[in-house]
Amino acid sequence: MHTIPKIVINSGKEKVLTIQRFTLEEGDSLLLQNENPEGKTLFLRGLYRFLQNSRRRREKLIEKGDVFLWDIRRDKIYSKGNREAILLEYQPAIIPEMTLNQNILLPMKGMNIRLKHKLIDYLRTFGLTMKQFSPGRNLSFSEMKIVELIRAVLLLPELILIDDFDLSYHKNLHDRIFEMFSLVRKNGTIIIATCKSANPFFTRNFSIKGKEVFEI
Amino acid sequence: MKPALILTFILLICLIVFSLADFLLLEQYENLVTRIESLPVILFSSNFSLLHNLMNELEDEPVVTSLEIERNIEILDKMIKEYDLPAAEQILDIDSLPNMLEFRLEGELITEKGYSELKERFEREGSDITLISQDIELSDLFELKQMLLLTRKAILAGIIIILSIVTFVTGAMVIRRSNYYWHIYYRSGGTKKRFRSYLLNLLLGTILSLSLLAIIFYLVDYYLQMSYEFELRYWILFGLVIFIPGLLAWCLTERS
Repeated sequence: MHTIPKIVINSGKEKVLTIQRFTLEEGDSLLLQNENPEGKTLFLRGLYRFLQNSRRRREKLIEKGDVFLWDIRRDKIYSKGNREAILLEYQPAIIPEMTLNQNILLPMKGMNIRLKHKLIDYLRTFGLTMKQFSPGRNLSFSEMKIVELIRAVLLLPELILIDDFDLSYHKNLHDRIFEMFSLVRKNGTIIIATCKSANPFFTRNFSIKGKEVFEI
Repeated sequence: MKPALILTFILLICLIVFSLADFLLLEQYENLVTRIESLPVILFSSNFSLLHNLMNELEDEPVVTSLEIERNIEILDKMIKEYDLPAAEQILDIDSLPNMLEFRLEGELITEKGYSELKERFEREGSDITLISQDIELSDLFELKQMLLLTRKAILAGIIIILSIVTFVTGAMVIRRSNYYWHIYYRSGGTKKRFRSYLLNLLLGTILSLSLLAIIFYLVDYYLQMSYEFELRYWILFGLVIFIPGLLAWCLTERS
């Protein structure tokens, strides 16, 4: 179980967003639904930034009941890696010079047979087998997003944070993606996504009201 | 790995050019030293004990080698034997012939100032001593030697500056060009430390370029009999000259 303390996101002295304390169970799937563009990405970034702290520091913060403050102007969120949580922003994180396979294997330290089979399986599911050796620059936006998703799923992190789920993935792909998510959720991975409209796949729903995120 | 290879290649070219220039200068320098050492300096005096005392003093001087003292009678004998002049012995007055002290200069150590001090020392002994040497040629050789040494120092300073700039610029360029890669790498969940990777590449570039240079030296010596090698302090100096600007590039570029 993960406990997320109250997170307050500031921009200088101005308060931008507050995320109320909540807990996450293994295999949970959360959706932050909001029609307005503001706050959704910030919610995911705030969570991601909190999870970048060491486990010890996080536990200390939760034990003391402190608020996690994050100033978005000062802090870079990608200054170091985080294998516990992977944030998939709207812009795909792909290196154009590398092939599809190289892009997927980028963060992996090694490749075992199990991983190889899974990769082949996922590529086949999304019809990307023929593009394994195509450079990243030749992939469409949708394909790039799928590559990014497969990479995240293969790493089996504790949390996968997906920004603008409905905009990033075409409706036709949703079933296949949810099938993949169901498999990783069995392994305990928590899926948190932001979306404009509701989706029955997600078991818990959050919303933003008056610069505050709360569970519905 | 790729940045290390780029760095190695550039550094190796710089080091080879420097080694070649240094090798040619050293050859000239060695020729000069041999020429200085081949020129004799001769002292004549009718007072043998004075010459003998001088010889004892000069034996402790590191700039003097091949000391030889000869009495006038020995000189006379030599002349008679060499030029076959048996009658000369009766004609010549033995006391009118001087005794002789001959020595050579240590080409590596002697300087124009050192030679002048040596000459002043002989002059202080009074008019009893006559010095015969090729002063004009020696002076030219000393000047040339000084010039070569200065040129060598200038080339060394030049290569230190060039190596520092090359490493700094290559390092900064590699860091800037890989910014996007590392951004994506961390976004995708990679956990490798960027600094560790950079340090590894820098070390690899340093060690690889110096090792390749050592191999080239060995091959050139083996196949072309051109014996040339750096002293240990040069290896250490070049290692530091490559490594430190590389680290500096990280400190200045990564933070900006």
